[in-house]
Amino acid sequence: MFSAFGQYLVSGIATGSAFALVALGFVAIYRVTHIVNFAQGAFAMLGGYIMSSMVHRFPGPLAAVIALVLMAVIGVAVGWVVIGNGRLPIIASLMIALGLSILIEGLCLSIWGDIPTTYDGVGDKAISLGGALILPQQILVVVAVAVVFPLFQLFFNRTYIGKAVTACALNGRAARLVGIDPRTMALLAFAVAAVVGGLAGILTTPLQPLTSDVDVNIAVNGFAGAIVGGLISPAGAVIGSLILGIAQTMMAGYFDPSYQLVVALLVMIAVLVIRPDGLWTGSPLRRARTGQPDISTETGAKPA
Amino acid sequence: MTIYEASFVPLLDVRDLVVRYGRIEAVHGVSLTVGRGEFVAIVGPNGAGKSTLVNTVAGLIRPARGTITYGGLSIGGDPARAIVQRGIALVPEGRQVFAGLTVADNLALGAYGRFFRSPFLFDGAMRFARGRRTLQQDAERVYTLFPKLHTLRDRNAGTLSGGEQQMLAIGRALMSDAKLLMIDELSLGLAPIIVREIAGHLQTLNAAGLTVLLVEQNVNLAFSLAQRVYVLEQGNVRTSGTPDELRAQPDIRRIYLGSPIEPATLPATPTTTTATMTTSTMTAMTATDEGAGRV
Repeated sequence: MFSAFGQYLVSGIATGSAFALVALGFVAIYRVTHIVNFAQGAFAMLGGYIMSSMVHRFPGPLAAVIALVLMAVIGVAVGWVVIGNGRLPIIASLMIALGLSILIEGLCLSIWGDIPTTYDGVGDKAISLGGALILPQQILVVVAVAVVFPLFQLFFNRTYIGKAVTACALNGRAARLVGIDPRTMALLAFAVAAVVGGLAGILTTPLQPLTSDVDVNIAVNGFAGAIVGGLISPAGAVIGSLILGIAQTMMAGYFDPSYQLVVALLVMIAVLVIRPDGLWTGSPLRRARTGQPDISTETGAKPA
Repeated sequence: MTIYEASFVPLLDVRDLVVRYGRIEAVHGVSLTVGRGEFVAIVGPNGAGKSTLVNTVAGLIRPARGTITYGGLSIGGDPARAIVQRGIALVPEGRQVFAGLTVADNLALGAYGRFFRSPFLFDGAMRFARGRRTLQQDAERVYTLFPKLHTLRDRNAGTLSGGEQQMLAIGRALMSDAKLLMIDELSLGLAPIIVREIAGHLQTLNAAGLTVLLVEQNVNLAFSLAQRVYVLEQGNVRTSGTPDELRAQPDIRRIYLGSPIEPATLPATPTTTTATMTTSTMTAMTATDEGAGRV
């Protein structure tokens, strides 16, 4: 019984780590734009598919780098459409993001077909970790979060451009007055989100073959993780995702695997009912932010 | 137009400016000029269009009609980032510091437009890497002007007092290498002693060559600082001139300078606009014009 618990815990952390990467993408975009990027799941799916095409042509790490660079470009392109002229109402951007994710699903289906796609990971020999078995690929996912999360924090809190993005999230009007272009910052956020989302897809495809409808599942899980941090706290998003991953594995192990998504939905509903602003409010953004961020490049009427 | 206005080439020239918020017209054909090195003030009651005017010059709002010329170049309708790159900086109403970032970070970001001149971040990142040292020097210059900010440099800007935030907002605007500094409501929500201190710094900056355009509710303060004053009412320039010229106009005296008491010594009663005004923009937007005659 205890060893089963340990096994579920270890698997849960690995699962949760994958969610965390997707959740960080939600946070990156939401902080700057207040847009919940419904295409975040599609980013992860695309990352996996692109990797599946690259992995046969290039050595693994190089293939991953190429796939991530492509994801950054795709992220900017998606962001460019979702943000539009910068004056779209949030709800319009949400709908565009949803439409784009359906479009990406269709493109993936026509390019990669309907047969589940996968490729080999870093090894298929399970390692024993105090009685619990874990695959090297799963360890890689956990390591990825352990590396990406500090980098994410470092970028947004320590670098000049990162601080400019944060300034944009804190006070869009003041950001514009110092010369920051909120639209550029939003596109940067989309690029970051596409890269971390794509990384999740690249790392998890060897564990779970891809189909072109997997993006909804990924998005729901990532969103449920991110909402624990109120969609603005990267730390909250990671913690929420890990809790969600563990809860899902426990649910699958002790009850029934088919209820996994239900756990995500329950977490989401519970957070939204109890603390809509998120449970983990460590970020100064939560306290400082007032009203909607201003991502428009201009307001009012155009010159005649 | 007075002889004085006609005799110089202005740094900032706003002509027949019309600004609309949707269907509501907030500024109906305002013309004003600011000469190089001048200290000009705009006064007027709430809702007169003062903030709208400077926000439009700063590029936050697009004008519906009219021209804005800066140093001979047309800048009307340019985005805010292009305006600040040209050397016009706005200290917005309510200070609007980046609460959550440190004082030092706020100042550093004030210089953003100097480095990131195009939407392509790579280009800006290269310029930033080369120009880092000037950033530190300019921050030191702001600290020399406002020594208090130096002691607070690692503090979260959101935890500063109103006066400290105003100093920071001015310092942040100066970091952009501004030639024309526009300040929207300098005295709003600040203690009179702090207002006098900051006003003194503004005069020092002006004496050193900085052009200042001040929007101010406190008419006495504006008259004591500015070389020329525009009186804005309901989106129109009612009159303009030197403080002495305006004091000589009976109706201006009666409406704007009616109170024999210095505003700095007014008690904080609910009817005193200056003393009870909060920092929030909402107050300014929802307040009526009735308090304007008293300040």
